[in-house]
Amino acid sequence: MAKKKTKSKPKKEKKMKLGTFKETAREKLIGQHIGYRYDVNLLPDYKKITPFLKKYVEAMGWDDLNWLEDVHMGYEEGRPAVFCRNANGWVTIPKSIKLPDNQQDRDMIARELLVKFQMSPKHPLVDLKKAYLKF
Amino acid sequence: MANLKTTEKKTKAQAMGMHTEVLTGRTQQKFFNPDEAENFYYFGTYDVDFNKRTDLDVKDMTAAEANKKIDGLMSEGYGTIVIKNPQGKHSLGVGILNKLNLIFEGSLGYFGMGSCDGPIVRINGRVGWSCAENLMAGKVVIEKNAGSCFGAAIRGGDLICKGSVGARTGIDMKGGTIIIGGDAGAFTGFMMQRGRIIILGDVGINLGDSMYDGTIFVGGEIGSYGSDAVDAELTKSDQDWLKRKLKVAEIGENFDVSKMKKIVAGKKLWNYDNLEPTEKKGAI
Amino acid sequence: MERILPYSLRYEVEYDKKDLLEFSQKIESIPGVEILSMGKSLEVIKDLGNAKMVCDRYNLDKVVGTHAIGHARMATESGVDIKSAHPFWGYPFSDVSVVHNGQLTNYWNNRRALENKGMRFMSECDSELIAVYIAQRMREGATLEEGMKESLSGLDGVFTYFVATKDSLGMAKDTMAAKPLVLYESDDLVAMGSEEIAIRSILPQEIDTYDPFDGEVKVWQI
Repeated sequence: MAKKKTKSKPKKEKKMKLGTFKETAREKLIGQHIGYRYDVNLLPDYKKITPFLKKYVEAMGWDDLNWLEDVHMGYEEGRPAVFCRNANGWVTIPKSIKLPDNQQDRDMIARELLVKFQMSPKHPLVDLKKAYLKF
Repeated sequence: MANLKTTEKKTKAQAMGMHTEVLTGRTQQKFFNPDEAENFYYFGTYDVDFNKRTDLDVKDMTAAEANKKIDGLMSEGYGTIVIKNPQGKHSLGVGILNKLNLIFEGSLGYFGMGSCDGPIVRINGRVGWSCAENLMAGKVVIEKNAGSCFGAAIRGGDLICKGSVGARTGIDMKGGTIIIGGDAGAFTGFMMQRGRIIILGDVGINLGDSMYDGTIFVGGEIGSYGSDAVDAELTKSDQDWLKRKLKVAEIGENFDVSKMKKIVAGKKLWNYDNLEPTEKKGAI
Repeated sequence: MERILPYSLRYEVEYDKKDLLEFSQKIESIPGVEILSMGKSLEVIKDLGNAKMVCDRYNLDKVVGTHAIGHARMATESGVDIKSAHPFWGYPFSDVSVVHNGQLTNYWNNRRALENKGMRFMSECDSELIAVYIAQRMREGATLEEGMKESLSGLDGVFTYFVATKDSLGMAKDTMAAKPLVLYESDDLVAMGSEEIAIRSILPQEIDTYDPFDGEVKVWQI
């Protein structure tokens, strides 16, 4: 009996730990915890747009963030990162970049970094295109 | 063979008691300097000028010929291309991975503008089934009606239809925004995983059937809700976003967004509770 | 009598019998004879080959009329032969024909039930069920539109089909809207097809076309 008790205790603690996430408005609404560290449905706050992103949107001829609306800062192996769909991998945020403590600002940084990565000659797609591009 | 299940690979998630996947296969690590990439140029794309304009009559061309010709014009630096007489041809304008201003003076058949990444397209006519399928980025505006499977599996970008659309709009969509000025048919937002759909008019039966995530905004009447689609509260940030998005889409100028209904996934069929972002990358 | 091809004949006959069933049964009692269609104003032409070949064989471009339906079949449910080709005649009603895109999943159940009621099937193609189903409903006194509306629940599977009768043209789409249809309607012309490119070949100018929604039935009187 005593053994069982000691075994079940840590499990409970873990559950408590999971439940201590700050509940977002959407989580309250659907009554469930969202496993993502960010809400995929979070709409961008255009007041927080960075100068680089403004220039990017202008260069592409769009009126707003377009596909970047779906880009958020997440976590990979405990480090802040943004997912690059072109490379199918995570771009980790350099430690030199200080991250603000709200998701909207973090998302803008993630977007900026992702665009820069995709346009960098070091992007994995560059090698792939060089090797396989047909037309 | 290397044992990939080494204990050092324990992630934060594992420490928290969450389930993690073990990735097999080759992985690469790339380093880059964010400051050296401010040239707004994607490798392998053409440097086009929006002010350089040309016309292209595709009446007597096959879809493959027309698409090759568009590619050729982009390589010459044309940034605005007007396509004349598309006459309902299938698969026109597919696979454009470039910034471009493309205007179709007429209607498209099936799979128009499929697998595009970046262009701004205006179609002064109707589009057939599966328009802008797999759109990655960019903006596609349809002035008239659209067929079924409008914006199937899109991952990003804005897809706008000023008229009405058929069934299964935004089926399997994984991002982006679909805006419909008129009515939508049955199974709108079927199996959607992410992204947003805005319908100003009425919508048919089984709205948001089996949706995993994402948001649907409806201005008119709803035929019926699909499995796991539930009502949600329209917030202030939703309304601001809707107003801004409708302005970008050039429709519903005087539309009262505060009366729109918001539909989200009830997450009874699927929830991300025990999943880490690494595992969800397929959905991104 | 006109012999069009070695295997097909067009007869013009006068008959005063009201019940076509008896009349057609008498003709088909001759061994090796099958009626593809019978009517006062509608003619069903079935053959193998593409649209151009069949058109040339039967001089279809010379035919003058008010309405026509056509179908190029990609056989999935039954063999490639003339009897399984569309349009299907709504035996034994004069001037009822159907073309269909889709698959019907309750074909055998419906076929058995309809055969028990004395209806006849000429092929094993699931599309024929629609023609026979509507013919049976009309035999019971329903109008074409009523019969078509009933078919939405009576037939299971995915379908978009057209019906042409002597003086009307109709379309129906299943409740899942799984099969395509593009429709153009004006005061003096109705054009519809699976693909817009077909409509554009006769109406190259810019016109407003649309997709009918799920479970929609439309009948036009000519």
